[in-house]
Amino acid sequence: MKELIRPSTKGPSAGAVTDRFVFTAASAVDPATMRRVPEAESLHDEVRVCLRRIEKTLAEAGLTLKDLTKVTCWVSEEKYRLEFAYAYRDLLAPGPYPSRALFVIGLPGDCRVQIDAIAARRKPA
Amino acid sequence: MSVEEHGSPGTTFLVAPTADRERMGKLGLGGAALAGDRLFAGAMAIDLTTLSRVADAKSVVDETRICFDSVGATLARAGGTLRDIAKMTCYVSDREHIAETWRTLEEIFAPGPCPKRLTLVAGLAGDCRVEFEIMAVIPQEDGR
Repeated sequence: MKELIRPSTKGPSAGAVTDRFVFTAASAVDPATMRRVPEAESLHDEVRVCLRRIEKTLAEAGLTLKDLTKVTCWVSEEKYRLEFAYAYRDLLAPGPYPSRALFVIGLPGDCRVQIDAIAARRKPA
Repeated sequence: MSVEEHGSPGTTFLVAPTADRERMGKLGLGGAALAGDRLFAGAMAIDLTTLSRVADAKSVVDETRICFDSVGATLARAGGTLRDIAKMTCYVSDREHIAETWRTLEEIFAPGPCPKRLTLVAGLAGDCRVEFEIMAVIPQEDGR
């Protein structure tokens, strides 16, 4: 059983909620232009935009970034790997940090970062 | 569980006693995640200090086995085994590593069945050639 968050007939919905998990993902792309939004100037900014978008989606399911369980992250070039890791660490500080994998892969437009996220809903009482 | 645990409201993160927690913190890494009966874990044969492959991972076979020794240990900490893996994603740094990785996985999971898997070529950290993400469903004491 699932419910979509911000269901859309044009483009993807923002996420999906099941009894136990919320599934979402974010990049800093502007779907209208297929380019990064202006506020994603530096890589650190871009990670912030991604996490804020995830945070907004999670909030609609009553969760926060502290509920993240697992993320798969991609950067567009190897040179961004450590910069991403440090930005991500700082933006999620003091944690908890979810289980994470980080890869280099081709991304849409001029995006340098994309994050796929799974968050767990609270343990049943 | 004989592991150091920390968590968010819905998740327990499992970190092996031998893990370099300081280095994990510096990189924002959280270990494996157990949420209800679902275990999410990743594995690569990397030294987090040097960000290079561990010395024992000479061949792709070695590297794959090191990863699955780690996955197996993580599953055991959560009360599961490799047989509880529902799905895995295999990342290889070059197409040339795919056949050897698949062959090694078939040996690891012999006599089968092997879980569903997806294989992608992607850039991996350091000089690693393989990396895995797994999702497992851990049997519960009440049989669910």
